[in-house]
Amino acid sequence: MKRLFLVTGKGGVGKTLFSLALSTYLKDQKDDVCYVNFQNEILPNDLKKLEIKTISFDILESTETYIAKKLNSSIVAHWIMKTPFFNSLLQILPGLQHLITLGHIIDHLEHNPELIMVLDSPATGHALTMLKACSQFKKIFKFGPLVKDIERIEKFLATRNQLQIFILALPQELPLAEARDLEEEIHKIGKWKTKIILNQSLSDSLQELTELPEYFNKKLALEKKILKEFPELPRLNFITTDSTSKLVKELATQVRALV
Amino acid sequence: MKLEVFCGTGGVGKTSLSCSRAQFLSGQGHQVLLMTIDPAKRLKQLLNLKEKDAGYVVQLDKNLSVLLMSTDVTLKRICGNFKNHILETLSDPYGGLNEILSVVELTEQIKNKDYDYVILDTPPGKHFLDFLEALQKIESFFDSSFIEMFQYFGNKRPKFFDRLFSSGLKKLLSYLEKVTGEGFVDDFVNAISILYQNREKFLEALSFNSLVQNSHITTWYLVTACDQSKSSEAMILQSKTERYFKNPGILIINKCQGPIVKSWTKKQRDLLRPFNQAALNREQELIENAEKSFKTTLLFPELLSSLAEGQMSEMIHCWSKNK
Repeated sequence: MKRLFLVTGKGGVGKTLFSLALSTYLKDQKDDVCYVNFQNEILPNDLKKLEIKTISFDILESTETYIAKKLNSSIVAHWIMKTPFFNSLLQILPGLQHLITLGHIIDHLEHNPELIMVLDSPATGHALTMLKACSQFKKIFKFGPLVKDIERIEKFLATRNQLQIFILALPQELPLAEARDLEEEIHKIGKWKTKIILNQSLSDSLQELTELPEYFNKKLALEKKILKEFPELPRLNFITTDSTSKLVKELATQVRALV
Repeated sequence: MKLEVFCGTGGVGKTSLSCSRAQFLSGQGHQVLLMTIDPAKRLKQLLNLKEKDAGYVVQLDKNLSVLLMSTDVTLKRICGNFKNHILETLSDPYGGLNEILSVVELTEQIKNKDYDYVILDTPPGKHFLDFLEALQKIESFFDSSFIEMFQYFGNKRPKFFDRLFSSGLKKLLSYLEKVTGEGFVDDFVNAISILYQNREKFLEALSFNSLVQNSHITTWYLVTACDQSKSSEAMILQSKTERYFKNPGILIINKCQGPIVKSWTKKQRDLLRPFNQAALNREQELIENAEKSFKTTLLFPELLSSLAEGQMSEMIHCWSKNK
């Protein structure tokens, strides 16, 4: 069973709304699903209407909890976190932050075997840093108690069918080229399941309209070229509504075909 | 020399804009260095760059040189050949040192050759101002923690624990060791001493700060795009810009549709409203916000050339109009 969905892609392709739509779809299937925004972004108020369960992970809190558990003392952990040195170390090793958050997420999933998490991940390069964090920090920590925890994360991610990575792209040349580069890089890190999705496709809805201005004609032609070249890629249709929560609900009906 | 720095989130067109800017300026006969960080493969092809070029200045034509930033090459150049897992992680393109290493590299390049213009495409951050904040982070990192550590070291490889007798730092590391295991602390001390031995190079780069604060030399471009739906961007824009821009920067609003829509018939506009109203609203909102915080705002239209090459030449054309 899929336990963890990771949604990534270039900035501005719609990762957050897609993640929310995926969560909505799973919720409608009566799954126990939880949406996690990796960067702790504040979402528009309108989205509260969707009633999606979310957890936010504060990196400093997660780290302190983890260290306290390891040292068996919350006082010492608190002191360590307060030192300017440790603080800068955490700042300068973003991979370490990612690893701690990822560990925390997997704790939740192992603790509750019914739970599914949708991880609204950082964009392209930062997503790679996150995915690389396990192997990199295993090298750094060599052996010792941390490595056992990293191996636990790796095992979870490697277990067949538990992880699905979605790479969002737009049906245009450069965004798609970037998504394909990213997919290639991800496969160099691990044998995970990835799927590229073309978001905001206009061709179905614009097809029937006549007298389009040149701008939309060009846009349509560009998209058609992409679709012809990559007919196997699933796509999501552009949604015309000005309410974010309505948009997510509509997108959720399109997600069905992907999961 | 003039320095132009392009900041912004991922996906707004920062790399395309800085590349086209460099090509525009070199086309005008100026000596230009373009420093770019991890562009997509497609853009590398466009600039005729190969993987192996990363980290070194490549002369593209008479006027234009390009440096594809490689944190790895830069760190090795500063610190020599090291074997240290922590430093290797740090020199990952998205490791925490990418900003400082770009600044170190840039400082070095400016020293080596006299350019009319240096165009810097900054590393992708979470939001607009990550690069600006990074400069402060660097300062505080080298001030508060490194200096604290360096004080204990001589020039030779330190006998770490001897020197740290009874200091809080020793206590910290001994706790860390319990969490991380022994190997880490050794590697860590080693990493710190490698950086310490080369501290001059890093501290020299801090002079970059005074360079970027000098409005006669540096122009900041903050890049945003109409297709980004994150409302937080606009808010950050408003609240933080004044703090960072002692000299008001230039805002670029990329991928605008407004000017294109103007030429449509009313019927066409009504017909297509469902498809572009949200983007047009955002565009309007960005323009209104910009007036409050920026002296100059440049609008770049959404480009629809079928190939990246075509988009690049359209953008160069926009720069010449925006002059």
